[in-house]
Amino acid sequence: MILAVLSEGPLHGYGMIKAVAARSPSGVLLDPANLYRVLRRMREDGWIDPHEDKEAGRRVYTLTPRGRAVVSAELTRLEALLAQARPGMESAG
Amino acid sequence: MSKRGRRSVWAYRALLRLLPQRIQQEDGAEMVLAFKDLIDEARGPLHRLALTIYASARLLGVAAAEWRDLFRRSPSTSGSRIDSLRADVGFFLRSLRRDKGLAAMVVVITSLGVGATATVFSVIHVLAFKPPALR
Repeated sequence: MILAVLSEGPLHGYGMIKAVAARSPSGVLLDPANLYRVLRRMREDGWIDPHEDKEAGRRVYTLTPRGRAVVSAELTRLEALLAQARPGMESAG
Repeated sequence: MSKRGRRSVWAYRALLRLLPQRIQQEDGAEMVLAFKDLIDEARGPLHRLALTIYASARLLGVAAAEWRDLFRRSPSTSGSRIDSLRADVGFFLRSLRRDKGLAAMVVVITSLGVGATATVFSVIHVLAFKPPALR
C-alpha cells in the first residue's frame, strides 16, 4: 500500500499516513513508528529514495525504478490470483 | 497546538529514546513531525488521547523489534558464542543418550559434588557465621 501511494508521487511521512487511510476501506491508520520501520527496510532494499524538502522542512520519499518494478510485479501477481479465484467463486454462487 | 497536544508530543518524543540510537538519529525527528501532524488533526481531546495511546503502544512494539533485530545482527551474539554453546550442549546430551554408564556416572558425580559442597557450606556457616547459641 505504501509503495502504491508513492507510485503517484513523492510524499513525506504524514502524507503517506493520510493517503493510505484515504485509500483503505477500513480506514487503516499507520502509526509513525511502524511506518518509518517499513520505510527503513524499503530504503535498504533500494525501493525508495529519501531526500530533504527544504521548503517543507521534511524528508520526502520517492519511488525508485526498482520500487516501481516491485509494485508492478505485485499488481500482476494479485491480478493473476484474482483471475484464478473468480471463476470458482462465480460457479459456486 | 494546545497544551495537551504539546504534552502528547513531549511524551512521544520521550518514548523515542527507547529506540536504538542510530534509528533515533536517522528517523526520530521525522517520526515526531508525523506524530505532531496526527495530533494536530485529532477530533477532540478523546481522539487525541486515543491516538497518543495507539502510537505510543506501537512505538514500544517497534522499539522491542528493533532491539531484537540489533541483538540478532550483533557479531558477539549471532555467530560463534551462541552456536558454540548450542553445539556443546547438543554433544553433551547425545553422549548421555548413547552411553548409559556415562549418564549414571555424571548423575552420581554431580550428586556427590552438590552434596559435599552443601555439607561443607553448612559446617562453615554454623562455625563461622552463625555459631550455636551456647555460652
